[in-house]
Amino acid sequence: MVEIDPEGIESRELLAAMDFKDTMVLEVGCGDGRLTFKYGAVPRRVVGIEPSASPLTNAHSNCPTALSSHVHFVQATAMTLPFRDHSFDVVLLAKSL
Amino acid sequence: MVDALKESWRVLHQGGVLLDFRPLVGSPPIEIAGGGSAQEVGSVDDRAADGDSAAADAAIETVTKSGIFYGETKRQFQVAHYWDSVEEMSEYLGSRRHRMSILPSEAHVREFFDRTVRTDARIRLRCRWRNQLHAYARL
Repeated sequence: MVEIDPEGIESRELLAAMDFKDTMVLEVGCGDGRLTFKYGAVPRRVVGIEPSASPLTNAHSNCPTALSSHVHFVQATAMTLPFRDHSFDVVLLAKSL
Repeated sequence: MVDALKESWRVLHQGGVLLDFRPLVGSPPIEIAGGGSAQEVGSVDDRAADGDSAAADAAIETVTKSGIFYGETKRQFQVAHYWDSVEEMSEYLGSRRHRMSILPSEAHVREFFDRTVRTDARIRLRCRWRNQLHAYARL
């Protein structure tokens, strides 16, 4: 099994790059939510999108209870985002560009 | 990719932030790590990602030149991946969107790994990918 970033470098760098407090975040390419869960406690709301159903199922089932009220996962692609104009403060392209 | 960036622009507030987070192509070294030390035994062939990486850079350049995103802060950092066996590492690399492989060969890395595992209880394979995190503001 692979263990990715046990040192927590990704979340440290993300949170240092900008202030996520009280923000609405769209994470494009959230996969199974591995990265989402690392910073998800800070923003007001996080929506993770992923085109494939299988990793999204894992994201739903692995989402920590403490995050489940404001972290959501949606099956969608970056080409056609199912959201209104000006809905987010941050768009995070998570290894998806 | 430009279309996806324009969609991101559409859903962002004015002044919102686009974060482009992705690994950099660069044949990261494979190490056998444990007991406080590490030995380089090979590298990851990640050249399959070259084309998409260049296309992503070009797409970013297009939208910044067009003025819909501006400014930029750049960060680079390494993210480590660990595996308990060469087989697990090979399976992981082969399952990525851009299929990767072990250089000079899986057999070469396995030979070193098997030899080291016999001498130490906690040995793992490690690869540290260089990543970029660039931030752009939405006009």
